[in-house]
Amino acid sequence: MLVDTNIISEFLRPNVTQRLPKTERFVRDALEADELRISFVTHFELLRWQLKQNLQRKGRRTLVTLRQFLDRCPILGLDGAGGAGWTRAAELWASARTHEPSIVIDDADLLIVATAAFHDEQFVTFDTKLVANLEAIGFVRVVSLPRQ
Amino acid sequence: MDHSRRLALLKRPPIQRQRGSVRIEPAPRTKRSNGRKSDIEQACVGASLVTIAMNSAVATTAPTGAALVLDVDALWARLPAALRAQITWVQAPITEGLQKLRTATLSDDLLDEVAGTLMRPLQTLSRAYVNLMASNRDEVRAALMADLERDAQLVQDYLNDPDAADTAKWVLGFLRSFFGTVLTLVEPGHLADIDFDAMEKAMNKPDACSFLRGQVAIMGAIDGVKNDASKERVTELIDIAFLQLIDVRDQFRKLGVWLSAFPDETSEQRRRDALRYAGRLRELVTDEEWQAFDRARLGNLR
Repeated sequence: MLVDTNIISEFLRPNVTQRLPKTERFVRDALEADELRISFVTHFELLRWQLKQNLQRKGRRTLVTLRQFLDRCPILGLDGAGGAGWTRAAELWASARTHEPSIVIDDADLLIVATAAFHDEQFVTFDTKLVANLEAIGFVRVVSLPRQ
Repeated sequence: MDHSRRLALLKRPPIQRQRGSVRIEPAPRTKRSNGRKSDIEQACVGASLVTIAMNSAVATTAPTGAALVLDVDALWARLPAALRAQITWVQAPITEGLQKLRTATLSDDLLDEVAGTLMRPLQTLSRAYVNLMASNRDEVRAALMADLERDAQLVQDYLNDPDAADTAKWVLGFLRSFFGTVLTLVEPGHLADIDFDAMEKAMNKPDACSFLRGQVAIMGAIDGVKNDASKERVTELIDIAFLQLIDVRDQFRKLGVWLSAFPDETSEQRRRDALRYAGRLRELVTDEEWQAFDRARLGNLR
């Protein structure tokens, strides 16, 4: 399964085991079972934030730790098979825009979803609206994870 | 550039042996017949180690600046007296540079300055060391590996900080993979072929010579341990070395060279470490910072 950035960022927050114990358990179990995947978009979002912090002289140690964490996570992208993942993203975008009524999906979400589709992974997110939109365009390998 | 031309550029004069001693000849200037090559390219032709071992696409593009040096004292002791006498000058700048890393205010500029100052002495020392490889390459490789193992232990014992020790393990593990690969695959003649001027020019480019910067930082950390520097400073230098060398690793991967800091690591160890680092991130990043992260998340690309 490929999890959305919002799940990974919650998983990495302080006191997640108290605030969202089921989410913490879900991600931990998936990681231990070698089933968890994240997208390079998530990698990009997390890394750019910490790189910025580092440039502002606050958080070199955090950056090192984040890179060590990301280094151990299986990360998937869109670039294999001659860029076929990007074609998949374009198809998803076109399906959403031609839907009646038209559906707008953020580019970041779209690229993460396309990564899951390209690698034939189930997509898991907290975002119920995104799940509904994806289901509306016939994207069925998507699961909404309750924020708990 | 075709393979034969590159090899021709990399060719160096033979090592001249005189009554059991080894004389080091200066590296030849590389001649360009058609157009000016980029500084990084020149630096690679002159100085890179691993690139030469790999395919021709790799050979002209990866900016490394690596030298076969980590523990200067140990390496110095292994050189024959006659060889040491020829390059005595390298010791003072190396000592001074590492001392600066221990004592001066640490910044990117300082690292650049020290790396720039140490480049020539380190490469000279590296070249001298490579000449020993002609007699027994396995011995040279084994000695370097022993240095890495000993340094990893030294750092671990000194810091008593699992995070920093882990990072040092990554750094020294990456260097072990790198040196192991290079010393297995690369002809000693190629290793000793160094174009100092091109390397100095490449040092001015932000994405070039990351290897040298990382290497100098970890040398500074090890030197700090030996000279009882503050643990904070040693940790900082290790972190800097990590950030430089993980970029180098990524540059190699872009070129198809998949070096790993932990080549023997299992999937289970990777997952366990991921969970451990997740736990550390929960301690390091506050809720407020995560809220700021949420506000800065990627939305639409246009």
